[in-house]
Amino acid sequence: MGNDNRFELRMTGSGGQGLILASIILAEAAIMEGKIVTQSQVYGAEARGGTTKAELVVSDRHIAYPKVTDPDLLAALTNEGLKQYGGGISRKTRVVIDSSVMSAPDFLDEENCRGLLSLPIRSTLISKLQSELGLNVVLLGIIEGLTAIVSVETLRKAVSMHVKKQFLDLNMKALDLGMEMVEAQVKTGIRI
Amino acid sequence: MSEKMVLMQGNEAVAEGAIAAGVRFYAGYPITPSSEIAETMARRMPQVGGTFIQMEDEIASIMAIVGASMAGKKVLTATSGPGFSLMQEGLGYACMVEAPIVILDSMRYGPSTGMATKVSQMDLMQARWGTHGDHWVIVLSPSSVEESYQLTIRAVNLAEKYRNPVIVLSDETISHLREPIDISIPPTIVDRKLPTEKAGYAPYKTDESLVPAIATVGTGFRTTFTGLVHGESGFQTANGHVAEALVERLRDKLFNNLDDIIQFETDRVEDADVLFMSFGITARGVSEAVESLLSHGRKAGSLRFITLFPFDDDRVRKAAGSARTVVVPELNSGQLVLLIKRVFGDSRKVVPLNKINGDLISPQEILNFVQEENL
Repeated sequence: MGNDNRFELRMTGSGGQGLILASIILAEAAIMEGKIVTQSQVYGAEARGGTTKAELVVSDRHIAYPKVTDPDLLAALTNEGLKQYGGGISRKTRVVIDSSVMSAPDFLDEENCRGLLSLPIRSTLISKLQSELGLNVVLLGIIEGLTAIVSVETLRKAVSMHVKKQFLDLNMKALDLGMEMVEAQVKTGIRI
Repeated sequence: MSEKMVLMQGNEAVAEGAIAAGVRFYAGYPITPSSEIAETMARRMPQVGGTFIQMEDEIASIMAIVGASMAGKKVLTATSGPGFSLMQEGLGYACMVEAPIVILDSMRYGPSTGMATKVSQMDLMQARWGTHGDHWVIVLSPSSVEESYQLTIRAVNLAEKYRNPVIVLSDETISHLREPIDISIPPTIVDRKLPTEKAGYAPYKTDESLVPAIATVGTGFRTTFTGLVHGESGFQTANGHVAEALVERLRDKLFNNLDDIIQFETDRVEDADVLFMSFGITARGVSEAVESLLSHGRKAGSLRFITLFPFDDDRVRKAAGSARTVVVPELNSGQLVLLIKRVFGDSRKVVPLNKINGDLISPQEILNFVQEENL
């Protein structure tokens, strides 16, 4: 509420994609850099497959209300997720969607959000890294590319804390892939 | 922030707080949104030389911790509404035999099985009055992950000190919230009083503290526990004088120590003309709303109940300053507000703000409410 150094992130998608883990990784990275965080989630009773929402608030000072109320960034990896948790965005909100599984929603335009970034996240992951795993880490790379909320090195460290050794290389590549996707987008001159 | 800060979930913080306070016995039956406490204790108890038992249900869970407590262990169980209902019989028994136990109830949406993954504050009165008969429990209410850790330690200490059940009344949001906390500072530990002399020992004989020094089972003292009314010897009686003295003592052992037990957190109460009274997660929305009201020139303040019960009307009245209007936001249809109305009668305008859809009350909703109601 009028606090400029408060950053609010909402990610939504399908249970099993690792969005809650992604929010935890980013939370830990922010803590390493001396920030205050609150991380929360909403999920159904299913172990996977249900619509999920993961939220993270990062601030330089005490966070009273721990939930996201006015997101700086909304990332949606499924249509269902965007439908269910896409409300509450404002002109400060950047919206990222995975265009390989969904089309740009008609309720978003230049008037009601800061920018819409449609990236083929899942299909790029599969074609570049021959993997269906790591979607959440690609998204972390995209978030990092867009916001630089923590240093890349800190983020790498936080990712590595949650990844088994044999998957470390894949995850670092996934992180790079996300950042490269943003970089490529910037070069096209499209407003993001 | 210090290097010692670790990201922890509310439920993990409860488990780690319990371990730091000396809990070495956990019996429970997993239920959303408390399950991570059982999960953490299952992993951690063997590491610290403690015992974890997954029981067949919540009735057995609470009886197991009562037994382990009487055998000398510091104990915890954790549950949520439906399981808390099943524990009520054992809770009354624990009050009567004066077993130091800690129960964590993570409030989810009720009644019945309700909505397992949605938050509420609907168990407030259940925590106080869920079991039958005149009885007294201590109920503590954390509003953050840090406080989940600290209040679990405090709950264990108060249970030991007063030989009484203590309930930590958390909720789905705090249970699953992750925040950075510092758990590197060793806590103050309180141990229960134990008898030294076998000669003349009676388990329920008390000194001026009114707290009995009951011997640990298996240490050579005769031990007799019953939920029936009992005298100092621990044996059952139907003597009305003994009954009256016992129930009075169970009350007075807590009510003679309200300064030690009752805690509030107040924020700009002194010159507030609109005062919010809340507990748990709801207080965090209040905190942000108060900031916003102050920045718009309104005289707003907040009183947060850290100890919910015992509830002392005089202390609440004194802590509440002189605000004309008292707003009571809570995630139920109006439970805390009943107590607040009792405290103030007609002397203040007491306004309930209730939400019962499984979501939190946001700061903006509080601001809108203040505007709509012309408060």
